[in-house]
Amino acid sequence: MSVGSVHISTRTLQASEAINTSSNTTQIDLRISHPMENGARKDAQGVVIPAWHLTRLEVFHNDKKITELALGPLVARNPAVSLALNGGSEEDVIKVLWSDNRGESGESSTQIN
Amino acid sequence: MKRRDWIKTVGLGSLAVVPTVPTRLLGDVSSAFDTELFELVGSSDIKPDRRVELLVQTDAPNGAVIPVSVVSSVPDTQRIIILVSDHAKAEVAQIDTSHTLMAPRLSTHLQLQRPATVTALVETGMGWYRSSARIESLGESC
Repeated sequence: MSVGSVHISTRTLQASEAINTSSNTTQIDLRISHPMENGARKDAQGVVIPAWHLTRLEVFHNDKKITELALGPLVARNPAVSLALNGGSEEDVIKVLWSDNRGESGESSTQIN
Repeated sequence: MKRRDWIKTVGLGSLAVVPTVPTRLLGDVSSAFDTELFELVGSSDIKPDRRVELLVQTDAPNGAVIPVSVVSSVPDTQRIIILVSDHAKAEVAQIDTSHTLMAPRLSTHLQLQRPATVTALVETGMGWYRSSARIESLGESC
């Protein structure tokens, strides 16, 4: 995967996994290709590798923003982030926008299945 | 299997590993951590609570990469923040869960440089709640 490519997968949680049992819960798993350099590591020559990490994710449900996440440099390389929706139906569209501390950004979307 | 040897720490149970010191917000952590925490929360009133469920591994079989998951059953959870002590930047991740569609849970992976206390903070309309766990061993890097 190239830097910033986003893989989104969804699944409906079983009742035992769900938080609100009055409705179904859809788990959204994000996997984002990113080096997530924390600015503390050094290369083979002993030179500090500059910080380069995701700073923000915005999540949209059918084009309406439903949440945003702030991420720091301690999140591991190629971040995996899971969150959950109260409800969610097949063919609903989930879109994710990302940005990092270098000012780079991107987006990806998928349908709930 | 050790890889799956998850520990589950909740609310009051975590007090055993994070002793309270009156001059510190969360006890055994650095003043730099306290400063960042106070900037985030704007209050020293952060109650340990069993409804803040923090799932974290005590060791890191794949280098220093550690899965962490937070689930809040505190009503009206508006925000979840994951913090670590003993690192230059305390805040790992935070999520806004105020939208009715958002369930109050967040999972990700940490890349720690040294042992640390992981703290989950939950903001509600009634105040702040937390749970903490100490990661003592980071295992060997691959």
